[in-house]
Amino acid sequence: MATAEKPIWFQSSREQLDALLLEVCDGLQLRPSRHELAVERYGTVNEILEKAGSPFRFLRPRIFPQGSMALGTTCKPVEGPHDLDFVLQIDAPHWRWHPLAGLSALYECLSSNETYRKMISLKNRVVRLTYADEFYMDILPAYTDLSSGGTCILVPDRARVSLCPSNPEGFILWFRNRCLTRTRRVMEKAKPVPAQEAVHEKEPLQLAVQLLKRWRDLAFAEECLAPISVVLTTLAGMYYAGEESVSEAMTTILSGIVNAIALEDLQGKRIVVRNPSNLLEDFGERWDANPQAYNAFKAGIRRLQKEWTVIVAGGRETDKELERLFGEYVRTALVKRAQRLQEARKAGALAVGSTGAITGLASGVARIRPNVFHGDA
Amino acid sequence: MRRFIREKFLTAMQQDQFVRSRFPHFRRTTNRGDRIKWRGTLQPSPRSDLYEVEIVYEIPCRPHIQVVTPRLTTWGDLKRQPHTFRDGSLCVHQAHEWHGNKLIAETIIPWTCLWLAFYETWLETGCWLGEGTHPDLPEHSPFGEIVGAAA
Repeated sequence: MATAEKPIWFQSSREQLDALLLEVCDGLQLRPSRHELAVERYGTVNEILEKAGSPFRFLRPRIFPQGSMALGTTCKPVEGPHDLDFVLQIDAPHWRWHPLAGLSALYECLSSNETYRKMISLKNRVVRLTYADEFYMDILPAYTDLSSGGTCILVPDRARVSLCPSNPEGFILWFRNRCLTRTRRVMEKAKPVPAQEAVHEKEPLQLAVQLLKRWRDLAFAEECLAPISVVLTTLAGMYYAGEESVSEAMTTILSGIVNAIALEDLQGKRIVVRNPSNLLEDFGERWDANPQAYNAFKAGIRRLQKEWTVIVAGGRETDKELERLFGEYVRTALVKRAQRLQEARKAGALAVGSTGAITGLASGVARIRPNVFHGDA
Repeated sequence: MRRFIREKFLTAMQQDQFVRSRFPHFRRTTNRGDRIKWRGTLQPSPRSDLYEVEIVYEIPCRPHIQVVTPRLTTWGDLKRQPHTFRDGSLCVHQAHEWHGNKLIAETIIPWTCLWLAFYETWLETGCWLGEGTHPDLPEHSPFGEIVGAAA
């Protein structure tokens, strides 16, 4: 990960809160070494699918990341391994085969490999490879959707025994475009962003999604009630308004979601979370079968908005609240900042302003002379 | 010969002039010639609490620093804050680091700001990261688990 000068002193409360949140997100995301390992491993899977004897060999298989890895919104789970999602797209007319043929072929192909035999399992839509070193790789076999065109694909669903429309690449493009801050929307067009950015290079929307996912992981003890990542990501992308600050982005996103829920409540309906790259797909459809989960989401997000308002308006005393929402990374971030403060102090690089604010050396501020804290033994 | 040369200390007026010009939020509450008292507010960072601090200086003794509001609290079950005296006042320096010829505005007050900044982290984490003497005291715990995790 590239290093960036981390601030020790701040001009405003918002700036200080943003720096703290940035450090929390740094703790949450997939470590660069792990990211490289994942990339290496999906490269190996791709080689196996292309080599002689593979049923995919002549179908021009293409494997690419989707979900949090591609969006730059990975979030370390509270327990268990990271899940990394990949699409295996094949250029073949889907109508020639049974809807689940691709999924079965992928499972059989990888099962025949000595290495993968013990790691493989079959899920509803994906083939899962569970690695011993704390992550699993979900591979979704998909056909190019020739009738819809563009980046649209068709993915198998074992429960429905059919192919369902999807468009993960379109979703990534939409999200990357939504990530642009107000300034960058004016200054430049969307450009490709590296798959894994250091956290200080991330956009406020990516950071906000990481925080929302972390909040979800801690706030919903029962997994069946927790909103799925793509719902949180889509809602965040929909209501983000280009704020340059992650704390302001969170404020806007939360108020957008809470207002949308209130509007739908008036009509006795739930919010619809359409896939922006495929409007036929509603990411919130699971709520129809599980209204309890929707009610839990509504209550949770309303509570989060209230708590967030207090945090943004408050000061140090709300750090405990932040820790409750996002976990131990808040404490680690505070320790790291104090360590940097101490290093700067030792280097004689600190000064104090007229309000008592600790700053860097500049004219008009008193340099802090060396001292050793003492006291009764 | 040296013992006949009288040590020179800055006067209360000189100290007062610098304290109030460098820190306009400080006001003098008492000045009895050789005993002066200030009250003022300090905020080490924008998200920090706003601390009202009282400094009492009796020439040429060590200035006495007390946080008036908010009341200082402790982390966990600990009885007191790191680097304080039994009366709860702050100990921001060793004896040899301060002398009556040094400006309170350039030493005691900036050191108090630093103490407050490290106190706030200590209050959240239990780790005193500003170092100092007596590192073996439980409340000074600079090498807690979390520090190792963060390093």
